[in-house]
Amino acid sequence: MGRINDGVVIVGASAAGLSAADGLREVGYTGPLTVLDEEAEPGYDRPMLSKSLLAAEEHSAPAPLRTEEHLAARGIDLLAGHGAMGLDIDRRLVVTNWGEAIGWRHVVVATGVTARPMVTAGGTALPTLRTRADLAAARRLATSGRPVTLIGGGFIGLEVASALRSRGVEVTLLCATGLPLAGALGDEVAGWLHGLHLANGVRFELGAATVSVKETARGHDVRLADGRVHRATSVLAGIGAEPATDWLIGSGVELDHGVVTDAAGRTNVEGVWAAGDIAARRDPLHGRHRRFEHWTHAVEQGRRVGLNIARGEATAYDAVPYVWTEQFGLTLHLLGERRPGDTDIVVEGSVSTGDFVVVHGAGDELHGATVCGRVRALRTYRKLLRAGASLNDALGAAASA
Amino acid sequence: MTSVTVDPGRCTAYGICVGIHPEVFAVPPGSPLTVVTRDVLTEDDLEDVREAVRACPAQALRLVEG
Repeated sequence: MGRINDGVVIVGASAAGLSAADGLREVGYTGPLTVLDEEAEPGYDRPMLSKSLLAAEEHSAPAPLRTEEHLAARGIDLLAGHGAMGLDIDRRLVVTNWGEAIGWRHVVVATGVTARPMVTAGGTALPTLRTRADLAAARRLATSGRPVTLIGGGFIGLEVASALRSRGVEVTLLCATGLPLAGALGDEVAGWLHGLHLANGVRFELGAATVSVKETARGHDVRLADGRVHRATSVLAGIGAEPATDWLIGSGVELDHGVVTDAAGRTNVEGVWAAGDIAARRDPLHGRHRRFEHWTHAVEQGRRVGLNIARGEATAYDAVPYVWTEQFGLTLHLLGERRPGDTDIVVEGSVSTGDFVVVHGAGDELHGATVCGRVRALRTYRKLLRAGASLNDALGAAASA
Repeated sequence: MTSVTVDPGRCTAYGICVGIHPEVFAVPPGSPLTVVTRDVLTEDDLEDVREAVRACPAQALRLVEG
């Protein structure tokens, strides 16, 4: 580590950053390799926070993503508690919160996203669930015995609702849309999921966008878009995430709701790469930049950037989007991406039994598949989506399954 | 002969590996661990099994090439 600009510096020690480091060593990069971790304790399996760790009766710390032996064996220098404050692309330095200036030949931006804050009228940020510290606060809600109001009907909101109900906590979920996750799942699957939550005692306010939250003597008053006021005791917000690009503003690296990259992970600045949740690629379908906040995407894209740097290549990373969610003991897998207006076809099982494969598409185009229970179908549909197969191919695969 | 092993000390039956290659990995209902259902991996399995090894948040999978 130092000012000599001959090494690789990776900023961020979660899935993408560590996978980039592994990828570099995997194909023979032997130079200096430094990973900056803003958090004092090592990177951990973040998806577990809103899944089993919140539901567990005993508090258990999230597991580190890499053992010390793994890092030592690969010569990966992980600096815990070192966040990046700025990037100097002319002198090729990363400046840290400790005032260090670390030289680089290549730098990988993998600072990910932070939970979008929701701030009360009194100026207090509501608890959310994104980091290890958030988990401790969320677990206190779970054990307080008081009802909890969740703002946001996305994956985090629904997973937290499920985890809190499993601990016997009274839960009300405020959801801006008419049906949670209807865009991602289609009405039939989203309707079934909503029913699953209702059957497990979750209360809903649907079509209820939150306008403002005000502290009161007994908790919080949540003002909704239709003028109603929901009186809440404890509140937790899960309203999405924002790319952690503050430290790059003014650096010369192109930003557009994330760090803009090409398909290989390169930014507009030579030697500066980005991977994981923060990387925003041009989406040919919509003509804008977009990011993916998916675990497997971060791992594989991070690795690809590592390989590209080590080999002096610019190989594109293309994979089928994959995300999973655990709610009330069921795991829902989403492959590809359902688009607005898509037809949803049940090709295996039945939605009402929680054991199904539903494909999403339009015309003869296959866009995605949602799978619950029938996990053997996942590999089949992932291959079809990767190959650009048609909706008919998907129906044929289901018929022969 | 190539196979994949699960470290019982690290595995938390998370199931990402099942999502990537459900013909090799399984989490039986109630099981605290992932089980490997295919002892000898074929050429066709390797790409996806390698991805599962990389994706495991607990880093509990290991490819044993022999």
